[in-house]
Amino acid sequence: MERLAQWIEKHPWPVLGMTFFLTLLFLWKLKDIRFEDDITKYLPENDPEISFYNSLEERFAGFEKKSVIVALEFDDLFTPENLSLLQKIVESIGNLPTVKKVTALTNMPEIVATEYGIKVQEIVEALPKDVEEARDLKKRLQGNDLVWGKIVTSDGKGTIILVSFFDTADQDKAIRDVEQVLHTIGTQNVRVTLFGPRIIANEMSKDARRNMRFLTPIAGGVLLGILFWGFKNVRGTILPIVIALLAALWAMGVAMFLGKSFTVISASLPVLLLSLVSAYGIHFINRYHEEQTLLGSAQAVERTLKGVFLPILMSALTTMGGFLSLLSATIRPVSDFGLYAALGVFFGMVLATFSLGALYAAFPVRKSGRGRVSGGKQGDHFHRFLLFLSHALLHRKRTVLILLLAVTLFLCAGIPRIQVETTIRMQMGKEHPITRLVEYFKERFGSTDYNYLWVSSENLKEPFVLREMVRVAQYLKQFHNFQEPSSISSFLLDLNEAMEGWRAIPADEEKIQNLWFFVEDSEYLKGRISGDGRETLVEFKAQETTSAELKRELERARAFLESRPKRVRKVPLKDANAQDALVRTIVDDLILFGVSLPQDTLQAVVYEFLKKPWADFVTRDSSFLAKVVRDAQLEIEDLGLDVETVRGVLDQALAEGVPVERILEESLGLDLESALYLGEVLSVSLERVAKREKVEALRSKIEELQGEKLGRECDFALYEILDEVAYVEDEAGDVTVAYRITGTPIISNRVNEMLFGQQVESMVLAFAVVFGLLLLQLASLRRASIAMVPILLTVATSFGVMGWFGIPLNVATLMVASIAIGAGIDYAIHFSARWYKEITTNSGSQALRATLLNTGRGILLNALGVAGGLYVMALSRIHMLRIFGSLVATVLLLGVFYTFIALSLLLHLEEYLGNENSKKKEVSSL
Amino acid sequence: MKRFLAALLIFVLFFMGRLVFALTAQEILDEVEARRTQFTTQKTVGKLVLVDASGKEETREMVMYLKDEGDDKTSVIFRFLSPADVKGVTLLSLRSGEKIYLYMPAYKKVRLIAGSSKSEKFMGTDFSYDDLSAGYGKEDYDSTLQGEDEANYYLELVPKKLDSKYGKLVMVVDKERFYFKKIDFFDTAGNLWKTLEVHEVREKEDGSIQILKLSLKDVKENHVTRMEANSIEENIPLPDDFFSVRTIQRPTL
Repeated sequence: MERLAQWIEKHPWPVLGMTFFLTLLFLWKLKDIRFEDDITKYLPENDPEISFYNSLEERFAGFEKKSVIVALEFDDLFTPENLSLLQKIVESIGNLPTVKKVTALTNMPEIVATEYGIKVQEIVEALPKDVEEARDLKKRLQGNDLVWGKIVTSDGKGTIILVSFFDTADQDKAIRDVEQVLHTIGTQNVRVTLFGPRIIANEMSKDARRNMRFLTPIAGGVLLGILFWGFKNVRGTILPIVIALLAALWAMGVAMFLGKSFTVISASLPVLLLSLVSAYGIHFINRYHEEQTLLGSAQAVERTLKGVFLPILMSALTTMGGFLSLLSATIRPVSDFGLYAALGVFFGMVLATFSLGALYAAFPVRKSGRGRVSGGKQGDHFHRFLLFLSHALLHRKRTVLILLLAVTLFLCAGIPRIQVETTIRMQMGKEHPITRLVEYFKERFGSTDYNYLWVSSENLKEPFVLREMVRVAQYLKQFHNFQEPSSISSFLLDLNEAMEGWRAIPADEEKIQNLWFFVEDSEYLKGRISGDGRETLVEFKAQETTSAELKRELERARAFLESRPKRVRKVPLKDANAQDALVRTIVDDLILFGVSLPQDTLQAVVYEFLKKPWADFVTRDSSFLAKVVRDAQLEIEDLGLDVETVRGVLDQALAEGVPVERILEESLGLDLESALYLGEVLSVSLERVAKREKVEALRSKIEELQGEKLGRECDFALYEILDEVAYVEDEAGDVTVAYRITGTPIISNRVNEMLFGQQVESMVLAFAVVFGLLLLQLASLRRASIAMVPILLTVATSFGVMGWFGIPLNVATLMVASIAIGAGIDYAIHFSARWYKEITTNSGSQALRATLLNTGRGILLNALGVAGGLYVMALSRIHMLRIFGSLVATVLLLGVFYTFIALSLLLHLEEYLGNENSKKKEVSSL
Repeated sequence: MKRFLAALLIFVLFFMGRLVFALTAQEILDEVEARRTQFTTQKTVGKLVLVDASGKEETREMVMYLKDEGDDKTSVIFRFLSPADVKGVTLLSLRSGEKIYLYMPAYKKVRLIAGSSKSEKFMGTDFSYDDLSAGYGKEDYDSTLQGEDEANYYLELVPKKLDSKYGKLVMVVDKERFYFKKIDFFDTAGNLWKTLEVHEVREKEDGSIQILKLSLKDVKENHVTRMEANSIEENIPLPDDFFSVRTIQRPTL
């Protein structure tokens, strides 16, 4: 060190040149700064939840992460002009080359069962031409659950357009193109709001930049003011701030060279470093002026470097230890922040010693006593306060001890009240534009966040698998995080209703395969099936909940999935126990869909109907016959016949018990081939209608017993009575199914789960590093242990403060303990060092007073400066940063409190016990 | 001077000749239409190969019956023969899609498909129901000749229908045999959407052209559908009521 100090003294210009060069280099690199605050990137890519979520994008074409939602608010959407404007916007956006798909009210498809078949139509087939038609359309849509309150607001004024971009699109440019379209079309009387993960991320980036640009100078100003107030010296307070700013710049520059991105949290780095690193510069300048006064400018730099390098290095190492402990966290914003901050502290140390040394060597200060930073007045407020404190510690020990215990116990009592919370509202604050944006969408259109149930099976077309998807979705619907399920199964339910007249998943795999054609025609559904056809997704809208509620819901959802059969065997109904298995399935499903009858009663009813063949429900009743001929209407009319005539023929055939073909041939004069054909068609329709009658009879029976109507969704369970197979759980079964839940709210939950564990991990690591450094410096286990006490109390009570003030644990507050340990331990080190120095020549009382009045003053001023700088973060628009800054500042002040009170008492006690032991030794030796 | 006048005369005559003898876009389309194989009925057996974005191929065998109904209208019966999970699914399109019926063998039921599904993709292919029944006549398109070279004419066709999903079509027509080798379909914003390419044709004795292999690529979705004909029979005798709901319910056509 001595040779290095001499070299710097003699060759300041290369050091200054290098400092200047690196500053310019990092400043230039800062142009690449980018902010990324996507929760799916909080965890490392090899995290099981993240890698699974990310893999969905590769496997499912429809898993569109690149998308944006455009909300339009009109005075009244349902006017011909506004609907026409909406259509124009939808078409124009759809024509953008980056846009893959646009879904809006004007082009949403719906499947409608018609008299003759299936009608796949757009919800708005033709735009209303006049006010009356627009009103009719509004009235019709009010009855559509999929549209009203979701695509269209419940007051009929707002609507949304869902835009998804091609995977290859530059999402920012694509969004700008959409904005340009909206601007070009002219939407002056329409309130336009864009929403989506990218919009939120961009807004966060803007805020993070704003934080850096505005808060850093303010924090610098505050720190400058506080330091000047304490030290009464302009030059000596400006240079440390410049050093701290350069340290922040260098740290960010290195991060840029490492290809790292910044988060909202790391945007607070300059403010934090300004507060923490400025002390190093102060130490250097202070010592320089001391040495200069004694030795003159020529040797002052060398002597200063030799004198302050080790203390500054130790201080920097302890602070870095605290920050580097955050590297153990797998939550990316936390570990990145730890790295950047540790780098900043390291650069601060280098700049405050080598660069400042070179600066003072190149531009020596004229010899005068005015340069001392720690001047101040003997009789100022700080002096009087510290004098009072030393008096209280020496003469009111019991009172001080009681106060210490009371404060500590009270604060620690808040620890159990700590909550983990990562909701947008808690992170950004209720007034933040992002929170308002999220809440606007939530209020007007329901949620915009999605969770997914991933389903995997050897054969997705297997009815059991498709039915399980319906069952699981039905169960999960009770949770806020799993609303409005949509899947291939829900589409097949609609299609089957169009084909057969009931909303059920047919047990016949061939029917599923036939319906699959429509799945293949739909880009939306194809996008929900993986390339190998073995995986699919059930999509749920997720309403934002508290983290605790999300956790509870997830636990229950996962428990339900765990309870579902994963491997089953298909058995014909005639096999032993197959009927029992089917009855159990139907009863469980009926209960799942809300039937409230006792299980035994339901079981008995289901058994009764299972035993009845469908043929029992064939009657000559006119409405039954009408249903049969209506079912065959297409074929009847294709033959040029009248349905009423055919109904008569059918009635006659049933009455006489003769084949219908014969009467068709004889009475209607059909040729044999046509008669056989229509006979076959009628017999298929008759069976279909009779089966429907059987299920309706079962429905009526249950409704009668229950005393209330069953919803349409119960069709799913009721129509299982027509199954000719049952599914039995069997380890050796060939029908397999596996589930997994994912989605950004799930990842958010994963982050929450990790927060507590990593908090403990990084804290223990920080304690270990700091304790090791204390041992090195104080060279005594006892002394190092004593010095650890204030920091232990600080950390414990900081959690109490969080609990009492309702500050949740999140990615930002998670770091407070580690920062407090790293930064706060400096106080204990300086305080202890001064004490042990004083105690060698003075009594305990004198040593304590001297320590408090000298080192204590420095600590107090530094802490106030640091806290003042950190409290500037309270001006941030981001709630999380406001809390983070205030909390770190408060915790550092708590650190000062425990250093002054607890450490003083312990050191005094140690000295007292040491004296007692000496006395005993003296007595015994006598 | 004489040489100059002679050269000028040759130049003028050459370009006048070009103007006099050059075909207009409409004439080229008329010739394409004239050279299309003429038939009253046609039976094609072949296969459809669907290629997804990852390059995975799925082959479906099919049989297709066509009937020229006059007035540029065609009726079609299209049935899948394999694989097993699609076997028997049959589509009936009457008079160029005026009515479209679908027979699903598992349900033993025919259903009428109505509404905007006509513009949706046909059974997982890149063809829409409309594409299958579309021609490129002057009734539907305004055409202009954009250029020509040794081998081809380059035409631009703009749909007359305002609600067409295509903004324009760029067609490459073989100069010698007058069939379209390639058609680029552009959306209404001018972005390339689909590309149809004819890979193999057979010129019959009467000079008419039968298309044997073609592909349609959806550029936006990066999907390709290839159609390959193994056998084509023309003017086969079919009952009057062949193109009916009843026919498509038969186990064999």
